[in-house]
Amino acid sequence: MRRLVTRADVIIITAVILLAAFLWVLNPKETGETAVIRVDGKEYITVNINGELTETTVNGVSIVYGGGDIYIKDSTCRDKICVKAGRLSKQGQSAVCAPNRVSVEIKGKSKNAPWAVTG
Amino acid sequence: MRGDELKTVKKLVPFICIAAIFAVFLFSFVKDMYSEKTLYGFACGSEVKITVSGAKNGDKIAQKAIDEINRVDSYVLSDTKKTSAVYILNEQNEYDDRSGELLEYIQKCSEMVSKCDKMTLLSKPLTDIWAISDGGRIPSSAQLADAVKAADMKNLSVSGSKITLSNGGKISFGAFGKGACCESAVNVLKNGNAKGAVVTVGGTVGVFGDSGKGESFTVGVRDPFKNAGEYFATVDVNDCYLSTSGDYEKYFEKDGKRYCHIFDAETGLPADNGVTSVTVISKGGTESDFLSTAMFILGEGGIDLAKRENAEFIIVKKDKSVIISKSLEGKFKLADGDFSVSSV
Repeated sequence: MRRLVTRADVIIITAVILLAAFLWVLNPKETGETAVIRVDGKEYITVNINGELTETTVNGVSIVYGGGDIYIKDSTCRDKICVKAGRLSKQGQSAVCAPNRVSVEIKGKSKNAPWAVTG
Repeated sequence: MRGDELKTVKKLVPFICIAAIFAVFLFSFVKDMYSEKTLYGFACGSEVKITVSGAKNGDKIAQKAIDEINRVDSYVLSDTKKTSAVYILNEQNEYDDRSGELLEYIQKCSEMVSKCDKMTLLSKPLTDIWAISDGGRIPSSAQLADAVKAADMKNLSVSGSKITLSNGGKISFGAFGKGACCESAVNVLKNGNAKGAVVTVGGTVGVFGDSGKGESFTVGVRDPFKNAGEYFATVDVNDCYLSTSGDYEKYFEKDGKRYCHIFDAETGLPADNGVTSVTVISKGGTESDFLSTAMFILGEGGIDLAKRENAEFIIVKKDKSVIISKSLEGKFKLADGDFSVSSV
């Protein structure tokens, strides 16, 4: 009698498991380590906030990230509300420069985070 | 199991595997099509964020809502964009509003303003002399008196489709626009058959329908003493709008005194009565925006106004005491123990 499990079966099953693992890795849980910088509401770049200190300027807004947080250092806007937002490190925290249409937000949402914040 | 039967089953194994993989892809594709979608934009001088749940292609519906906010802001209500009806009216002191859209907003907001002597739709002369968005300056008493006169609602008149401004009166929808835009976005989403959505336009949040996680949406109330995005409390609400007016973001300080961006139309001075933020929850976005501004100016004296208008409120005073409407008991939850809450 032939064996119940052939070599071909093993290959197929392994391939399915690998594919599932690959899809899982592609969709990682957001842990508050990455921040997204948006221009005009569209994603401009996603950065790791735990890496080396890096400064980047987008639409007149200079943004510093690395070492565990991200913040808007300076902006060409007049009101500087974005600079006053300070350092961001927790999931969902954000800083917005409305005059320059730039925003920075820490990715991810903790389980009990509200849908939105009024204020 | 006999040998030939086993063979047939084994032949099917690759097909079953392929079918399973295909099913997984199809499922994730459909799930993604119907999953929660969030889109961002900029309008009314603030960030716009729209999350749609339970709708097929929610991102397309959300984009339509963002486009509508941009249209209302850029072509009707903005007092800084040259394309808007308000901008043209302010420049020329006269505007023939054949579409009637601006007229509708003016009528609605004028009616609201008539409920509070300290509010005006012609607030631009006041915001101009204080120039908060330019870093701020303290005007002379003569400048202040002129601006108060210019901001008087009697300098606005409507005859048929013609809108006329006189004596230096200039319109600003600063206390209404974000709420009005939020409302128009919610209407677009409802017409697009979104089952549930959350729309944030600056300080105003609109929620409706199915959140996918119970009956209501949990919305945070900004902590006036902390950074943007941090909240001191949450409220569980549905089918309503929440607006917050406060002195913690747009202001300047001189000689240790804080001058905020919300002005008392009777005196021309920044509101200052011990309150640092007021959140109002009501059935309309324009209304919640108006009421939060009016209550911020009136302080605790505004409670009667909110009650007359059947709106709920959360008043945060500078000493971290909080006054909420009785009807919010049970829906309002403190997230920070430093605050003390009472209800009226």
